[in-house]
Amino acid sequence: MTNLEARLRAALSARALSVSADDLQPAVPPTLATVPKPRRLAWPWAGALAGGVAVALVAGFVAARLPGDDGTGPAPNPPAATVPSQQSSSSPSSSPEASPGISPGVSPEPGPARGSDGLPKGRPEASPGSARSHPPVPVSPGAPEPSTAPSPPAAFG
Amino acid sequence: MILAIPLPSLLLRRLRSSVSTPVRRPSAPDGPPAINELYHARRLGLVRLAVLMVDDLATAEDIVQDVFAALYRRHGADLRTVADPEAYLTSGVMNAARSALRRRRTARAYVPPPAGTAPAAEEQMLLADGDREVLGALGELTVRQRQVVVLRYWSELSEQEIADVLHVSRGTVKSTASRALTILRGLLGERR
Repeated sequence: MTNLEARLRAALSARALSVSADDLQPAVPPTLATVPKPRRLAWPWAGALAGGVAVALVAGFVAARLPGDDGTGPAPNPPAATVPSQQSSSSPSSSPEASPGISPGVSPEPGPARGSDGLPKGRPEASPGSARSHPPVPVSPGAPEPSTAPSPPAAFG
Repeated sequence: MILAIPLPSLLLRRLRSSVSTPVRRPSAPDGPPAINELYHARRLGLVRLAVLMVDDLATAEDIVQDVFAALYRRHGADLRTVADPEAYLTSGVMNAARSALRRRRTARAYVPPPAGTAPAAEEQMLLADGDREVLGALGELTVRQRQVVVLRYWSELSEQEIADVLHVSRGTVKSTASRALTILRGLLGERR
């Protein structure tokens, strides 16, 4: 041990031993003191459960409000009343059959409905039943007979 | 190389704590909690250790009380989960003293210390001139150097134990102690 180390030990010892038990303030162990413990959730899983329930409720609400599921969504377009065109002579389809069979002139498949002006309409303004109440479009002269709107296929109600 | 040091240190610490150091068992169910026994047995020694670091009795008492409170908050009263409570407390006192010294230095950078923070006259009277000179030179060291010197020459810990307490490598302890002694030698006019 060098002289410096001996001096260090002596000085540190003198300073430390200058503190005696009588110099200390009266204190109690931490078990007797009111040490605030960190607050914990009573049930750690309760938060996760409440969050899951909330998410499920929101998801159910959103799903119930989705368009198309409540009957007000887009319905299939009814077959529009077809009007024989001027070139109907070349069209062999003048049969008013309500057959869903493919016909160049009468197409029952739901496509973009055409209004009276011939422009496609995104959505029919009336139900297929009410469409029948409209007066037939004037038939151009030369047509064999005015075409009546075929009734919609049973699939469309 | 620096990154490779903590792993052996951790392994050694774990090995030491599980093999050579007896695990403190909780007291009897009807007896006082283990932390109360430890408090009564070690409070004065830890306050002395803290005084050597911060040189202020009131701050040292606060440090020790806070360390015991933190130990109780974290591990409960029976200390069943603490492998070496004394090493835990020593490490806690050293860390808290370091924080206190940093706060004090920051505060003194803005406000000069009032006259009341000087050591009491009775304490000065009890110390010899040579001791006061050495303690004054200790105040010139960095916090880490002072920690190493106090743990080595007052607590009589080995280099490895100091490394475990301060959570540094043994080489760091050795080099820090060497630098500290060199500084003290220059301040105190000692020759090798």
